[in-house]
Amino acid sequence: MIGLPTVIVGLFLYMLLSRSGPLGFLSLLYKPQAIMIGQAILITPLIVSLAYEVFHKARQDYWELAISLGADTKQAYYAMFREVLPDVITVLLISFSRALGELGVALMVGGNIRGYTRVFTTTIALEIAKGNFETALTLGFILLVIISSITAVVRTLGVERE
Amino acid sequence: MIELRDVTYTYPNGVTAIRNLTLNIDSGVSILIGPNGSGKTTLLKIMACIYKPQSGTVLIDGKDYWKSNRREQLMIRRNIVYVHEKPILFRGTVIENIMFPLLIRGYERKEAEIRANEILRELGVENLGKRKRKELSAGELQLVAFARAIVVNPKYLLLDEPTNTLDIEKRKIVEKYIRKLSQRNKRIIIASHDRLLAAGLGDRIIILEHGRLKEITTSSKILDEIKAFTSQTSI
Repeated sequence: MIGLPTVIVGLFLYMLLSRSGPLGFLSLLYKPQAIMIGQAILITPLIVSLAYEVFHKARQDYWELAISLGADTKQAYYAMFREVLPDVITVLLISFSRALGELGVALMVGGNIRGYTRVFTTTIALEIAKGNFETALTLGFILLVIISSITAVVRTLGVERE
Repeated sequence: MIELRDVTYTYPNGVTAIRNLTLNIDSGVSILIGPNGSGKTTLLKIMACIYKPQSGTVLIDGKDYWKSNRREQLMIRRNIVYVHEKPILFRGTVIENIMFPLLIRGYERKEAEIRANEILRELGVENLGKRKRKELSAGELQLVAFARAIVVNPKYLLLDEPTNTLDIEKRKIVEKYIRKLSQRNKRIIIASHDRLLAAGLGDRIIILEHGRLKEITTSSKILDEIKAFTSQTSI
């Protein structure tokens, strides 16, 4: 599920939310909420999978350690959460970064409506289609800076963790 | 006294590590020895009430841990401290790690810090106090884990391979401290591959094989075995 292609999610969601679709009565198509739902579908498996690894290992290590030192259940969970907090933040930032750079879902269910559902990636796609490569490149560069900053934060947290 | 009655423990992957084991451990230093996979670590974790056996009874000072209520279980566990084979420290400094078991027992921060520093001094490693886990060698990690365990003066101290990464000096310190604890009527149970450690420290040697109790013997018998082995290899 982590590698789910964004266009597949977009297509699936479009069929669900379109007027003739099973969830058409909600009138969510081409609204920001539709993009949010799509992004949530896209990144939830990533969050669950990474967070499961983090908590599984933390339970074996830190929870068991706290218990073996005489902690009660609450104290053991508190000690464990304190240890995994940087990892959990890392997981969330990685997932946010994936959602930020996503195009398929935003384009198909958002409709790229100016001032309403237009996001970074759909704007870049539109500018390329219009032949405005300079604007597209500038926006692409800004997106790259944002994602690189997130990566830098993730790495810093990784170092802090140790 | 720790009493195990007909205890069997099987891991979720289906491997049975302990089979129908009955054992009583009371005063002094008891050493669990046996080959890899004989169930030493699993047995220690059962005694530390971390692992719940699928069958059998674990009695700590006459109380069935797994049939006790939560409050009683906590009271029982606070008399037992288990030190992992691969020591894990929490984030923060060595002092903060040693303070952890004291703080969860309700000690004031200042008092906990004083006691933690005292223990480090007793072990001759007061210089480690402000270091973080990534700044410690494997031996220092093991020593800090030992310090964190003894700071609460537990009635039962369970040590899994406590000296395997220590140099001779640190090993002597730990062995000396274990003897001291034993004289203070603490019960120490050690899992080890090290027969020399067993011969030097153990009041009683418990030999495990394939998760079963093979034999309970004395340190002098182990020492004789070592001597016999040494004379054979020197020929």
